[in-house]
Amino acid sequence: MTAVALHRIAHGRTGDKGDRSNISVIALRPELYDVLAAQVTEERVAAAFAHRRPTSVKRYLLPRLGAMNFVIDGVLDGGVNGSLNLDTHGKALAFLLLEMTVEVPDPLLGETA
Amino acid sequence: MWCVERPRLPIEVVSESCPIVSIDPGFKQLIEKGTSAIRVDLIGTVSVFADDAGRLLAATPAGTARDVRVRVAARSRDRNEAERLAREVTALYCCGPAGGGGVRTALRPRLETLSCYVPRDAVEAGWEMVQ
Repeated sequence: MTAVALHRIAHGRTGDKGDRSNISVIALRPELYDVLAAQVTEERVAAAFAHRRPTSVKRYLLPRLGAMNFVIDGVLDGGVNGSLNLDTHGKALAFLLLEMTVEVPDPLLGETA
Repeated sequence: MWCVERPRLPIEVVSESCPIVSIDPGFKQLIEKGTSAIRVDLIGTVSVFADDAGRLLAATPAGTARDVRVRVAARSRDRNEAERLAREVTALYCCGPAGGGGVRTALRPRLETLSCYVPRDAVEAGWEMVQ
């Protein structure tokens, strides 16, 4: 097992609607999906966004796509028209999530490096 | 270390001399508690990942960043208050730290939106052909 940043084994993109952020996390290869499902949990995502005070974090699993979708409420400071952030849509937030550390079996990691 | 500590100096200058920026109390109840009417970013240290209330910025220790700019944003219902913030930032030309890299300000109208549900029977769906 090796601890790596999530972006070593997955990519992600962000969407928004109102004060709700919608973040996909997609395994770079199908065999990495189980690592995502086991470790990238609602609790850990809530912790990654703690400074934005999420009111709820809901995870939807999409195993046939090797992906998951997070719906995170209350983290956009009012949403695109209300936020004072340079990134009013929160499009960069997928990359905040991808900084999370995950433990990956070395055989799987070797193919990713 | 001082490279990040130094940009925090103008943040304090602006915050102390511009305490009048406020949010309409009625609207404030509708947005997340703790949301600040004035936001500060250190571009190059922490900016787009941070929150309007400044929690992530406050929790970010002075690092080794060497290329940092301060950004201040505020919302107000009063144009004069918003313009005052821009003037306070501009004043850093003369009384802020050296090497600030210049000042650019912008004032823009805002229309904030909120998501909500409405009773189904309040929504009339249909279509008509217009010739």
